[in-house]
Amino acid sequence: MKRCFYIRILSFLLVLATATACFSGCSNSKTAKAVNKYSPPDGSLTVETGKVFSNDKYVLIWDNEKKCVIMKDIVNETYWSSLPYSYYLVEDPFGAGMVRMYSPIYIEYLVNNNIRTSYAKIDALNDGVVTAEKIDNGIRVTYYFTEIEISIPIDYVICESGLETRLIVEKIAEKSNKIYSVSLSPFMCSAKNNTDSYLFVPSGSGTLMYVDDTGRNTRVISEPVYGRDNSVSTEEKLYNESAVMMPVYGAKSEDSGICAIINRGAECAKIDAEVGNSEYGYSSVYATFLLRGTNNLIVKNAQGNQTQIMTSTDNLVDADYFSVLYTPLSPDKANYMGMAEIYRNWLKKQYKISKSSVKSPSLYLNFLGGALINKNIFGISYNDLCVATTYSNVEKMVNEIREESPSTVSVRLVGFGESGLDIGEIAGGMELSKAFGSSDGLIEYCDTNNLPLFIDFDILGYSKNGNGIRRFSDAAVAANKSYAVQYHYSKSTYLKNDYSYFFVNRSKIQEIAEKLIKKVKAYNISGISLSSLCSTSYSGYPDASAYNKLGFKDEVVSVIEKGKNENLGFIADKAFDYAAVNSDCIIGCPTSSSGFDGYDCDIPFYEIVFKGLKPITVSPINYAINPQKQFLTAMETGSSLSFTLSNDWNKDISNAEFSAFQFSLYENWKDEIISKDKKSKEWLENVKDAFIVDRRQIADNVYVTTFSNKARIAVNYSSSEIKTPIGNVKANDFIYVLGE
Amino acid sequence: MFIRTKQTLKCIVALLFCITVICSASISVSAQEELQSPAYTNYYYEQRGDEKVLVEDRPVYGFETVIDGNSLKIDSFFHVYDMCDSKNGNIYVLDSGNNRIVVLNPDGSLNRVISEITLDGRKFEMKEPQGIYVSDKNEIFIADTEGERILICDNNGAVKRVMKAPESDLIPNDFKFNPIGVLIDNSGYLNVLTRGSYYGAMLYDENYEFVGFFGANSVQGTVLDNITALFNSVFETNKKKAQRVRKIPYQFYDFDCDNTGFIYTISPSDKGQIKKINLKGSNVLRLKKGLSVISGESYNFADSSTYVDVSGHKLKHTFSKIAVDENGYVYALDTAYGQVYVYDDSCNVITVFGGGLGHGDRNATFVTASSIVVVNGKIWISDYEKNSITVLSKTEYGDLVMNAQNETVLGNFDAAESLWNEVLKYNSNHQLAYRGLGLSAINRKDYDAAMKYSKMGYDQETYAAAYGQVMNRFLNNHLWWILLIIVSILVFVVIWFSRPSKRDEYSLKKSSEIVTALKMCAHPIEVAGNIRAKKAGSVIVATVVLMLYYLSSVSVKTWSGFMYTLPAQNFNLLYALLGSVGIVILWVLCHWGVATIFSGKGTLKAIYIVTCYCLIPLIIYNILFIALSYIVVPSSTSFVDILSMLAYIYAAMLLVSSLINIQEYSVAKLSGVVVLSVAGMVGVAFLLFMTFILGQNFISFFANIISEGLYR
Repeated sequence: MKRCFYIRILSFLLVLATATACFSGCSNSKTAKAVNKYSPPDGSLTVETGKVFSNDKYVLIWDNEKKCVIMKDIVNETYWSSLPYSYYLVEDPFGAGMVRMYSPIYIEYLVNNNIRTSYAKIDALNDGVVTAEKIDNGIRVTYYFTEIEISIPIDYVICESGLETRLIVEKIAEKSNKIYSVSLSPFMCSAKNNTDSYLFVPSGSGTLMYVDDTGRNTRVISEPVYGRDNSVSTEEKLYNESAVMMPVYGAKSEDSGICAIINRGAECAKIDAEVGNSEYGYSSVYATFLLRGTNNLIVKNAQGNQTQIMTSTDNLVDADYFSVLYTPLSPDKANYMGMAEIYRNWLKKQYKISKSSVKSPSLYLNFLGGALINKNIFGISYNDLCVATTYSNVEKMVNEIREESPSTVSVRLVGFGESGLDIGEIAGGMELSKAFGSSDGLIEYCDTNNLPLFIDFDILGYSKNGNGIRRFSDAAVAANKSYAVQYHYSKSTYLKNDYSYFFVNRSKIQEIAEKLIKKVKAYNISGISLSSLCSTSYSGYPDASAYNKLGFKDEVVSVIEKGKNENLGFIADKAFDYAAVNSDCIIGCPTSSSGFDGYDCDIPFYEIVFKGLKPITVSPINYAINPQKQFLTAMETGSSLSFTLSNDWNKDISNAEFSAFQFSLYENWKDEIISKDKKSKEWLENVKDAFIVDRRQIADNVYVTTFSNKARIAVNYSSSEIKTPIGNVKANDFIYVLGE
Repeated sequence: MFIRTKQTLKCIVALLFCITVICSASISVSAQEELQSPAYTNYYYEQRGDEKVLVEDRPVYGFETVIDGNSLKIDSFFHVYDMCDSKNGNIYVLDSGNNRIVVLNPDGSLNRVISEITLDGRKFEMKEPQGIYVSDKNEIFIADTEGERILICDNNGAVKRVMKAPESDLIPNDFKFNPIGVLIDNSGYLNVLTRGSYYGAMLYDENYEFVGFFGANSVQGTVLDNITALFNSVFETNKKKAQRVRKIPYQFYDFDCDNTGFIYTISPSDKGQIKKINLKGSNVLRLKKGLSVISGESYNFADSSTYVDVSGHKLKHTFSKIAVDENGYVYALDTAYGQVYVYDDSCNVITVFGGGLGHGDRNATFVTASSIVVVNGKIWISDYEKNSITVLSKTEYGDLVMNAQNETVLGNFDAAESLWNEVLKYNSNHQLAYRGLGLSAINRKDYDAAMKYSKMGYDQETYAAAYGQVMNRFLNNHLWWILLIIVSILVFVVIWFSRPSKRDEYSLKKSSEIVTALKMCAHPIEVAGNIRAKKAGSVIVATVVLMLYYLSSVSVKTWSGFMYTLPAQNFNLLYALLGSVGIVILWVLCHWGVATIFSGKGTLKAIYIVTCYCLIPLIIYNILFIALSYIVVPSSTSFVDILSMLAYIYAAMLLVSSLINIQEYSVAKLSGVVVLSVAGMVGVAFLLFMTFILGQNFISFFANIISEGLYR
């Protein structure tokens, strides 16, 4: 009897296992399309040299001999081509060093998971085949890399803003070699070395690379747009990274300039620049699109030595096309200000920008709740929430500051969930923890005094089951289907440490957001801030339409929409452009780049773009390397002030993994907050809704910025007094002239 | 009743195990709210007793600029080996690849280029020079390494004197003169470092006559090294001995001289990398670790953790260059990691910054950092591969920290106090600030504040000094009351125990097993006899005693007073268990095994019981220690230390006397068996360790098969 029972149970389990195995491939995620099979080119497809298409601003010209596309800017009489125009005009001075310059595209492909590079000049123009056919408003050029049997179709299309170059992903064909990436028109945004020119790279706040080549090595940089893909395993983190937050780059070439915006597929792109190469005398910046998902795997060989190998997806990212939009700049706007204006207009057109529903206070205060600390009883360890700031502390601090400097203050609570700042349950349990006291008093205080109150939730990271999210089964996976475990990295060895957590699978983000919004709605607060969502991106494997982070911005925009539909305000912190432009307010705007040696001068491009579009603040002043400099940057860009504060400091908190508390003690910063708020109030009020229209350097570390309401400010970052057009400015200080 | 107790005990043990496993939870932190960091890392180490804890910090030195051929409008640098500063603050850059010297002004602008070195008006070719020094007389000393000479030039690069290898009996025959560093000390003596020399620096007098070697490193050996050496000397053949690589001292890689005439040297060793050498040639660096002061020779100045790349290769910390500023701060350059460690004279880490691990392509990160110069609050670091010089200047915060530490070291506590308070505004977790404030408070006789600050700064010495004062004050004020209470308690105890009717009710009397255990402390021979003959001992009581010993041992580490024990940052339950319960069990097993061979009469059970019973004095000591650690000030002849010694001796005596009885051994025989038991313990521990390693490899093997499967 008993035996029979066991046999039944065993049989049932076997049937269940078989059924699970059979249906394991069936999920509601998009199945990947197979890659087109490479077929030999049809040589008859060709277009004669000459004009292909024109509108009232631009002419598209095709040179069938050199297989080169040229855009003529009718108004400014300038020519832009995948080959620098001065090279185009001379006879082909082709040499070994010129391969890169004469290649309208570079590709990388995988052979046994090793990356190899191929240049169109050699493998398509010389040894392969290039076909061309006219399409609406432009021309389709297909580059056949015959030896490696890969074909890449590119559409060059004239539009209102300039030339749009489209990589037609869905028509890429390959055979045994797998395409990995395509770099589009690498020399479209280029400038001749040793001229009054620079390249603009959107690293962090934005940075310039001057194109001189004497006395220094060629500078090569590469940065992924919207930061690294968190679903790719990373063993070490060598640097404190600052992500590319805007998919825009450009070149100022003496009196002319060009701005490039990655119009479609920015998540899959990286921005590459090569500056000061004396071999071909030009410096350039361009976009490279990654077409396959990859992950790194560490394995040991027979000898026991470990090695890192790259694995890749079988299929390409599921997208119709990726594109870059090139817009020439007029001589008077051939600089980064002109690029910012074009990009701002693109953002306005791309996203429906609504008027911010949140008032723009001059002071933004972030409060840190607490963190988990490790304790033990008789050697048995457990985690305990250490409270640094209670809700009543927040109320008291805000009240004290307002008494001294009456102004509207925006209050944001960070780390007030069940695990504090640490990652525990998804979104910190989706509620304000009672461990910090009762939140009713604070909510009422903010409501009574009309102060916007926001709560920050991390809806991506989690380390514990809860709120319908399970530790493993709901985690994001990598391209090789292993769990994309997230780590923090040691400051001394740069290696990942033992503490791990997960990012939630992308298919769950909307569900979590809906649940969170429903819960937060009950608190009667102004809105939410989702810092991690705004400043992180990752892939959604195995869905091919979510390879290489593709579509993450749509997820974010959708979450913000959901909040807005429920009348919740949204603060974006350190936000990528898509989150920033859809938010009510942007806090934590970057003020520096990722600090590559190749970068010459960091600029506040991010602030120049978003100032006037949305209320903005720079990163918290008390967290800055140089708080006074950060304050001056805020003044220069008309950004509100931001501080991050906590109420208590003790040795327990110092044992938390989190170092934020040691720089944020309220009693240390109170006087500074009040004095800086008083000093900046009049100026910030005056330029509240104004755009930045001009920024000029008038001496070393001295800048004069003009706003759209004609207000001007001269900021002196240097250590000596400087004379400026609007008066003398003391060292580390500023003066301003109010506008209309 | 007995069965129930046994079951309860089982339940408790099982519960403890489960809790241990379940509660070893980890913490993961969100990275959203962070200090705004530059590309390079900035941190320092808190010294918590023996433990070094990494603390993130604001930059003490901020990236200012990169100087290269482009910024100076000259041909690119090519392999800058060394730099030095002159008396007027100019920086001399030895651009070895270009055979030239580039002189920079203190602001980083170009002063001039000494494009060629001349001898008698003709161009003089240097051969990969690796060291440069400019004397107060503006003479340029160049260590022409491959040319095997030192060139003494005037300020325009005209060679005045060429110094070749000196001829002296002090110099060994196989000595190769490849100078890599030159320095003139405060006495006017010329010091020369040569490549591959482990004899120390070569010393020349004012007339450049060789006088001898100075301050050589010594070989640091562990006990294990010495045992191995002894073993080898006995068992190895002469041929094998000849083939063995001899352990030689590390050579000095660089040196610098401070204002007071001490010479600082740097070596790529694992410990004692930085040395401050006095005229006698001895290292005078000392470091405070908790209540003790240790020599700088045994301190690892680099990070204790190591970077391991994806191929599994470890990157060794390699200190290669050193600079000392006018305030005595030492700047040690770790070429492998691209980091600069800044230490004060007492081996406190002020900051560690930089990075790159040989791939640095960001600001203030390096590929091969080749030299370092510190002048007027600016640090100049050259990169051999990047052909550039990175300049960092002291930040406002850095100024505060270093000025405050200067004032503290000089004993200007009032001035230091305000500076430290300002430091805490920027970083509430600054150990040196709390230590400095503790010293300031003790200086102004505010002992309560001194205790508070020194506790925050993990400074047990200052805490104990302040506590001693507070205790004195308390005793002075309340001595009569305290004496009265003590006498009252004594009287009460005497009366209580002198009542005969009550003694019978004493609860412990009811349990003979517990009484037996307690009796062990007073009558070990009798109890051991009873355990052997009458089976009087109880395994359960023994296990409870063992658990109590474990709990008391853990409590000593976690609950003792700050003066004696620092709160453990990472308490390891496994180590604590192995260190208490593990050792006892191992001892019992090994002793039983050995004793069985040597005709011992004791059973495993009896040995276990007596061993556990003998732990009672240690338990009492542990409890007493916890109480006393809050009251008694530690000193070199502390009452607590004597108590500790007595407790261990007493426990050992109990064990010996009871084992003699249990095993029916003579003292001599027991001694032999104990030695063999201890040897057995070492052997078993080694086997367990090997099994653990094999197990790890086994697991790793399967993990790799799974990874490989995923990859396929």
